[in-house]
Amino acid sequence: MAKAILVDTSRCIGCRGCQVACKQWHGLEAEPTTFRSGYENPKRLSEKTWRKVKFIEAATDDGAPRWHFLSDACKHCTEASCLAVCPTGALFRRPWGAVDLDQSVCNGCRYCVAACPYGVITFNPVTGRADKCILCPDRVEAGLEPACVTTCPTDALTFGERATLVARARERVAHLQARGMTGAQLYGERQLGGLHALYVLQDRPEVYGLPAAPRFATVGVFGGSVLSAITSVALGAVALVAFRRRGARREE
Amino acid sequence: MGKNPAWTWYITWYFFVGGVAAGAYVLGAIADLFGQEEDRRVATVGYAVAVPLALLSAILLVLDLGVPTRALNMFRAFRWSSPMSVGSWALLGFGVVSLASLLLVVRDRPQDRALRRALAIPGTLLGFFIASYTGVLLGATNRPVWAGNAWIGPLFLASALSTGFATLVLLIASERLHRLRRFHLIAVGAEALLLVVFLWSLGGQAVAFLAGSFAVLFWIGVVIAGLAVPFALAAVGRTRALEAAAAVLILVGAFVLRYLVLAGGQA
Amino acid sequence: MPGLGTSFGRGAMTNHWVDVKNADAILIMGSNAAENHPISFRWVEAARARGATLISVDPRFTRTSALADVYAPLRSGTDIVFLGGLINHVISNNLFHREYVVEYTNASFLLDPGFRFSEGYFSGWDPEKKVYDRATWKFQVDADGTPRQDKTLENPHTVFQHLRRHFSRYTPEMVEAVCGTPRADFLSVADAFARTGAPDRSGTIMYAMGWTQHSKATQLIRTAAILQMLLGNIGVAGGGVNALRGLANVQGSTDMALLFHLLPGYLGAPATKAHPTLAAYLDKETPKSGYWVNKPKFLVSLLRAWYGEAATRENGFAYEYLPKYSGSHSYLDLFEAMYAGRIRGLIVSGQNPAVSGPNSTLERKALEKLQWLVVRDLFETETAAFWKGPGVDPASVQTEVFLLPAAAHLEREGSYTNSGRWLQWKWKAVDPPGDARSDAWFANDLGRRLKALYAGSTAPRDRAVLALTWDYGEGEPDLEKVLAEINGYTVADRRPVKGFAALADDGSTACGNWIYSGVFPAEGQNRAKSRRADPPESLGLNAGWGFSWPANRRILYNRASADPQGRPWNPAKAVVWWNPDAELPDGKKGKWVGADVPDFRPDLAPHARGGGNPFIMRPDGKGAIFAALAEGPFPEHYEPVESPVENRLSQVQRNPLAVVYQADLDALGDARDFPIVATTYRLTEHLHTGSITRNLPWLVELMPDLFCEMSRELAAEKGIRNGDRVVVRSARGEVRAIAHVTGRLRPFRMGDRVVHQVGLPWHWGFMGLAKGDSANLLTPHVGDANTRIQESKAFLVDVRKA
Ligand SMILES: Nc1nc2c(c(=O)[nH]1)N[C@H]1C(S)=C(S)[C@@H](COP(=O)(O)OP(=O)(O)OC[C@H]3O[C@@H](n4cnc5c(=O)[nH]c(N)nc54)[C@H](O)[C@@H]3O)O[C@H]1N2
Ligand SMILES: Nc1nc2c(c(=O)[nH]1)N[C@H]1C(S)=C(S)[C@@H](COP(=O)(O)OP(=O)(O)OC[C@H]3O[C@@H](n4cnc5c(=O)[nH]c(N)nc54)[C@H](O)[C@@H]3O)O[C@H]1N2
Ligand code: SF4
Ligand code: SF4
Ligand code: SF4
Ligand code: SF4
Ligand code: SF4
Ligand SMILES: [Mo]
Repeated sequence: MAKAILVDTSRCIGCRGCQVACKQWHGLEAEPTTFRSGYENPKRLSEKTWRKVKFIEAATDDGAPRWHFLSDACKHCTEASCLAVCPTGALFRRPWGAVDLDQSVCNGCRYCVAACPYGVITFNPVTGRADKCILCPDRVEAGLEPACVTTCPTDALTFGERATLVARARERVAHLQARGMTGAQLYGERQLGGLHALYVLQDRPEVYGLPAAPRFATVGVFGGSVLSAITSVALGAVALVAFRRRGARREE
Repeated sequence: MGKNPAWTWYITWYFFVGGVAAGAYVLGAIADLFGQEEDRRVATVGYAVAVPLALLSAILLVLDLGVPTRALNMFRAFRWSSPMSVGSWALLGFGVVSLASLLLVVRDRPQDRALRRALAIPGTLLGFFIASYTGVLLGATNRPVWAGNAWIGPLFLASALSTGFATLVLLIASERLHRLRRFHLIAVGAEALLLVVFLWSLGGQAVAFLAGSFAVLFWIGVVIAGLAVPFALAAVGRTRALEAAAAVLILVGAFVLRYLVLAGGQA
Repeated sequence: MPGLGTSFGRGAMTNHWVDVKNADAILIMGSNAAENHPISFRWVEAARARGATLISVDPRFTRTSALADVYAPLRSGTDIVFLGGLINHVISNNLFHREYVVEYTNASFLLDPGFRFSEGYFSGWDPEKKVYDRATWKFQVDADGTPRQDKTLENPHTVFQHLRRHFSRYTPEMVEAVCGTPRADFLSVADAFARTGAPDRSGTIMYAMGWTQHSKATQLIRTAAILQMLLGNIGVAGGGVNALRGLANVQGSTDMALLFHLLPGYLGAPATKAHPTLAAYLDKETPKSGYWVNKPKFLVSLLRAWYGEAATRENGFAYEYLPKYSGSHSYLDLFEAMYAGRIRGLIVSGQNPAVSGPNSTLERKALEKLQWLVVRDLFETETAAFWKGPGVDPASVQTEVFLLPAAAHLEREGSYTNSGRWLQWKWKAVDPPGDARSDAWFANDLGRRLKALYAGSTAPRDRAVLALTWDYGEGEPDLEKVLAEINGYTVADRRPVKGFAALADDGSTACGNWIYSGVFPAEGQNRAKSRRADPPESLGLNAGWGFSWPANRRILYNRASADPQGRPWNPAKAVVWWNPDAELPDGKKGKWVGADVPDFRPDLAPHARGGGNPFIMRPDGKGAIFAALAEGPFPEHYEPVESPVENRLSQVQRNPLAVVYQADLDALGDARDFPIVATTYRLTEHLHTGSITRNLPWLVELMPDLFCEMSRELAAEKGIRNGDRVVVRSARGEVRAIAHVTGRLRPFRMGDRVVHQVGLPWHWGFMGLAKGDSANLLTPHVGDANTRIQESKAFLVDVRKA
């Protein structure tokens, strides 16, 4: 039932068709940029850039150049921090897994922005609301693939049943390792209860700027609440005692 | 890491004002519940401080929204998982209860007394919640300093109580506070203690406050002005002037503390 | 593409895009397919998924290299040495496909005893005239004229032995010393690609401008052709030397005689001196053997199509009306002539030479010498706006400029011929805006106006215009009608011909382009529109998808995919094979069958005479390992015209026949002032001169500014940090760019010395949303000896912090 996008970095040629297709389908503006220090632009995912290809220059131990491309967007986490902290319910889950965002409800509190462990969802100062990749529900529920996936010339992006994609990704990882790419691994199968964006990586997640163990924002709530409660009781008691003592005196 | 939510000064002020409101109410309520007849003044002032500040808190929150006209969407849902959602409902409840408490204490009819005290109990709980949830809210993010930190709540709580107290001190002739004075020192002490724990819990990140870009504000604003001096003054003597001075410093220190904690996560 | 033409017989991609998936090894060299032919990587990845090895050889570590299993850097302009090294490796380690080489190429032919190569020259060099006397460049022949052979390949006069000796100098050490390719890297490439010499393995080469934009480009591509013949990789599935043509329809425009020296279908254009009459032309240009013996049928049918009733047997089918050329009218020559003031007017349609032409300073100045200039484009390009460009005082420019709005590809229908020779019909998506008109509309309208203008004239010189058939109606011409004319028809009943076999030289048939014959075999049957795809697990020939010239053959020379007896070298990838029991229409038995249309006479048995000659367009039917080109029958390395080093292989520094222009603005620099090698290239995010892409905000966002890629070592030497503004200077001009200091470019350690190379994309200009200097301000007017394509892949510059 659950659907997902599989990002196979080992097939990605960094053409950025996906990045542009997303903008085109969703009518997102271009961002003003300058050539900074490499091919990558704009700087980061934003309200205007829902999908973005990262260009990571690396090198092997013997100094041979390596160039990694990562087509990155919202991970549609199962444990979605943004969704968990959203007070209005503007962020909601589609039955097939997408973390969608109802622009008519969002009031721009920006809690989701601080909560997302991947720095994906962004505040849009123009509309006063949050914005991010929504996994193209309009297309998917009409039986199409997301715009970015349709564009991808090499099938580095594929869309489908999450279970199927996990299986395919495992095979691919095995294939790559068999070809000597020992660092190859699958990312997103377990993280945050399972992402609806799976990644076949050729190296450690950190190399791609992906946290190996992303944190579900609200895991600390319980502990914080308990400590606060205890402190409340303690200080309350103290205050109370202050009075009680006094009261007791008067009886004498 | 999450992106910077860019919460504005409104939020800094809300954290402060909300804390004062909660602190004042809680102290007022305790006085109301366990004090004697002459402590009623404390209760009255406590409630009287809480009501307008609760309202002000709401206004500040609305002003910070991207779409203020959609403030009421906060009440479209009640979501346990979202400290902000629960907090919004709590603030609503706190506002209503503190208003009721105030009316009852002002009307002062013997037959209301039971109801008033009854109300003071949920009111106190809500007060404690308002005083601390903002800290828990920050913990439920993926920003530096805040992410998963469980001690901001308790810290804010202690400081809320001492600011509440400081406000009372400024509004009530101090001898009317009687022994509650001693509580003053304890609250400040507790705040100091929790501050140390908070910094310890930050590990490496604490440097930002102790030696980094925030150091000056931290040492002068929070430690010296907000804690050390008031403590010293309280120890020195009991003149009205000294107490007032200490109270003002406590308020300043508490504000700076909230500013720093917010800034720490939005640097 | 004479490099391929002289070797195999046809100057076109031997295989096709989808076929790449059948390769066991893919050598991408002189191309950056991942960035410039993104869709091709769909098939590259399909091949890799089946275990193929991807090899990338490029001075820069590109997005192609990023996916490659093996990467080797080389200094721009040294590919012949690298490929020569591979040839040497394949021969000296006996890794070549011997039976293929012996049977299907001219390797076993004996060369004239007088043929020699020494001191960098082949026998017959005339130092005064600076041309070759080709007297000794020929085979020993028997009385009946058939070349003498030694199938053991032992005879020292065999082409093979000459080849072996010639390339024995191209050792891995030499490769390292000249290309700057670390020995180990070269050997891993050699090892990976040489494996395809096994009969049942195939390897493909994908190349494009990284190979063609050199002063010896044709010889470079010949080197690749020779390597592929040695490995038996021509004519097989997953093999070939695949020229990745530029745009979606570049192959189509070449087929339709875009180049000055050609008529449609690769019939040579007539020259004033050599071909005064039809008889003279046919006599000189028709070979005695090979499929080109049919050339008269094709030319006469073409003349019939163009001049209709005016083309009669009596007047040599109006041959005299054909324009004849007197000298080279290549792109560079045109602009030199323009700059010299010898050209009055220019119509530029679908081109932006002010940015794309080498030595832009000269070419922009040349435009100032015109009396009038017509530009048809979607945007106001630098060419249309040259008179207000940087450093130009509009008041001083006399040229009258007309800018006409053109309809874009999605705003009109028509056919595309892709790199793999597939004709595919394209439907119109939207109406053009405002007054924008399609190019066909413009051509048609211009033709009608000219005819009207000359109507009634009796001047002989005007007959060419008046005799022209021009029956496409008014306004938007019916392009299917045009395609039907290109396909050809019998004049009597105007019925379409089924294919070029039906064409005649007696004027009874008309045909606009013989190689396209068959695309419109019957009334209303436009095969460019057919859309039947093969299943993924198949060879992917897709015979039912569009139409592939010639005769819907998908893999050229596919006779060579079977052994001399007609059995597939690799049954798993069988393309065509000989079936002795198959029925022929006339009841006789035995014919070539298989998934593809045989590129061969279908009934010519393997054992019959010529039954083992797969390269049917060549007179002897053999693949030409030995083939005469301007600078010799074997490729030899010469340094680029601008080079930082001396040629290590001979005293001859640069291609003696390279075309170097001499106008005052044609300055050349030397290594003392300009020690750094520079190359220019493309980016996925932009198209060419950027007229379109620098006007699209989404693409500008991705690649906003001109940058210059350089190694950390060079940057350190020059005190440049990543992101700094730098000035890149050549003998012809300078550009300002942003430094991109990267580990993807590394200095070339060539034995005792280190050479630095930088690279610049050439997509910027002074118009559009994202402006920037054009890299072509740096490039020289230097042309390849055979094609005169510009040498914009290897020249000299210096770099400094701005
Ligand atoms: N996105 C995009 N795609 C395009 C185009 C475009 O402008 N933009 N243009 C289209 C057209 S018309 C064409 S012709 C093709 C051209 O396609 P390509 O030939 O792939 O294009 P280039 O980037 O000019 O050159 C390819 C590579 O050659 C390398 N190179 C430079 N010098 C040498 C050398 O001496 N030897 C070797 N082996 N490599 C060298 C460069 O580093 C570069 O990576 O692209 C077509 N596709
Ligand atoms: N330094 C350097 N220079 C190079 C190269 C290189 O690698 N390095 N590559 C060379 C190569 S391979 C090529 S192909 C050339 C390309 O050089 P050009 O062909 O001059 O460059 P384009 O930008 O493709 O120009 C095409 C123009 O046609 C317009 N256009 C688009 N569609 C239509 C249409 O339907 N009708 C009309 N009338 N106009 C249309 C576009 O807006 C654009 O202005 O550049 C060459 N120049
Ligand atoms: S990646 Fe961030 S924005 Fe996307 S679902 Fe997960 S938490 Fe939400
Ligand atoms: S900004 Fe919008 S989406 Fe994000 S948490 Fe607030 S209401 Fe929800
Ligand atoms: S799934 Fe849709 S919204 Fe998300 S990046 Fe792709 S195109 Fe954009
Ligand atoms: S479209 Fe596909 S290949 Fe291109 S960058 Fe995106 S993911 Fe990579
Ligand atoms: S023609 Fe279009 S689809 Fe094909 S590679 Fe070029 S840009 Fe991509
Ligand atoms: Mo091209």
